[in-house]
Amino acid sequence: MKIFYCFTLLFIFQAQAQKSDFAHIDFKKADSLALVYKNERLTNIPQLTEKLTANLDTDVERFRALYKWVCINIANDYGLYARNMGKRHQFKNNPEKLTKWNQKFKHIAIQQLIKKHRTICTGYSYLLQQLAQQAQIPCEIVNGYARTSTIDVDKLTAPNHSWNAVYLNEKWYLCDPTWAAGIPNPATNYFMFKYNDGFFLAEPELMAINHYPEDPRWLLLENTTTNFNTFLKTPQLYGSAYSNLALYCSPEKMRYDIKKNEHFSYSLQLLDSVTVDKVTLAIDNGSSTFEVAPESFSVHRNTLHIDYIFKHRGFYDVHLYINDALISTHTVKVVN
Amino acid sequence: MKTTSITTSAIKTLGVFILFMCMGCLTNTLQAQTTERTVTGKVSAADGPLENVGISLKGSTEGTVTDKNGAFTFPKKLSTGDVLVISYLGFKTQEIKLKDDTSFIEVTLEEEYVTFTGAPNSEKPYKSKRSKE
Repeated sequence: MKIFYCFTLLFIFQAQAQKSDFAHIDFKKADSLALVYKNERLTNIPQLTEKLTANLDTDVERFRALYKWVCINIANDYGLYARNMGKRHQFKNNPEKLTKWNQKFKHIAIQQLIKKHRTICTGYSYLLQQLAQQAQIPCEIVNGYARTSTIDVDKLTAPNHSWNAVYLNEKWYLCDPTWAAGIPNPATNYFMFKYNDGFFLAEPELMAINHYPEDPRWLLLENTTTNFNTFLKTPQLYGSAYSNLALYCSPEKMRYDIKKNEHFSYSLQLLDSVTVDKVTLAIDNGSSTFEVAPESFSVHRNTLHIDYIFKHRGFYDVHLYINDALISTHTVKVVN
Repeated sequence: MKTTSITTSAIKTLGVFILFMCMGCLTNTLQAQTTERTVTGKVSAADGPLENVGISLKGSTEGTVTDKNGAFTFPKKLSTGDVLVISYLGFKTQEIKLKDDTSFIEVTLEEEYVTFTGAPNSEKPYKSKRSKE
């Protein structure tokens, strides 16, 4: 098994791997099992794995039950995150103290996970890996860089996120249990469970826009030109992009300089078709935000094309909404 | 003649007795291999006993956890060949296959090296930093 596993690690370049490979599988039974065993304790991982997977027929269903259990039971602990980031920043030039802190923090984080079902990203990925391994499903923790709307990417010098790769039916797939579990409540900033299915066996090309692995093999993209520098220039993508899009084609950069009356064009591949009234742009000029409809709109075989023309000079944050969900942000400088 | 007969009879009786003794021993040995027994044990890490370690019977939902002294008594009687899985988050999982005479197991778990990081996602729209003009 181990030899086979190492062998597969060497050959991770493969045909595109995504959830649609399992379109014929109904995950209802796996999801129900995750619900039935909600609130089970984390003191006996083999026992929990057995309960969640024993009655399922395929590896993808077994993995789904484990993944869903993690996503609906484990809360993201922002206090723990802030404490860790503060210390890591404090010790960033002192490797000895940093190693000691990492070791101490591991104990704190594991206890918090077992006793309170609360953790930060690596805790989600580690727990999922432990459960999957117990079910004999090869699963890796992928450490790397993530960009969110509240992170200053120019200061992104060390890995700040963990997600997973899982080996199913002789292919590696990506998933992000942390971001699938929920988000901070916009009003209180406390964690709010809000399952997002888009991060389960997510499209690698979408993942590469806001996840860059320390080991680029885990991009799972063949012949890609993506590297850390191109990653820092990608647009800001949000969780809803994963639940609404198959691919984000263009604009492929975050920042644009354009001329007045020049077209600013989007091209996206949708999971489900939309009507024109469901697509809006919210344009922030620094002092106010105004909502506009695109100048032109077309959907052909689920590929959406929209255009907008800036008629005034200025610097704008341009937010794209589909079905009232925030998909992406670009910044656009318009000159004469 | 009588003496010979008694001697023969005594030898026969003794033979039967020895045969039964041998059979008894054999049966006991067989029983030792197949008899279900209560298994107890203790789990520690490098710095002492570990509480709440999961002990489960491989391939079943039977299991228990260790107490504050790292001790456990498995709730179901176990047989030779059964595999106990000893697991605790943050440590490498171990599997112990029960031998003929196993009724107590002592396990030291090895720590796993994991560095924790995490970036919470956000649905807050991105806001450019603008210099005040």
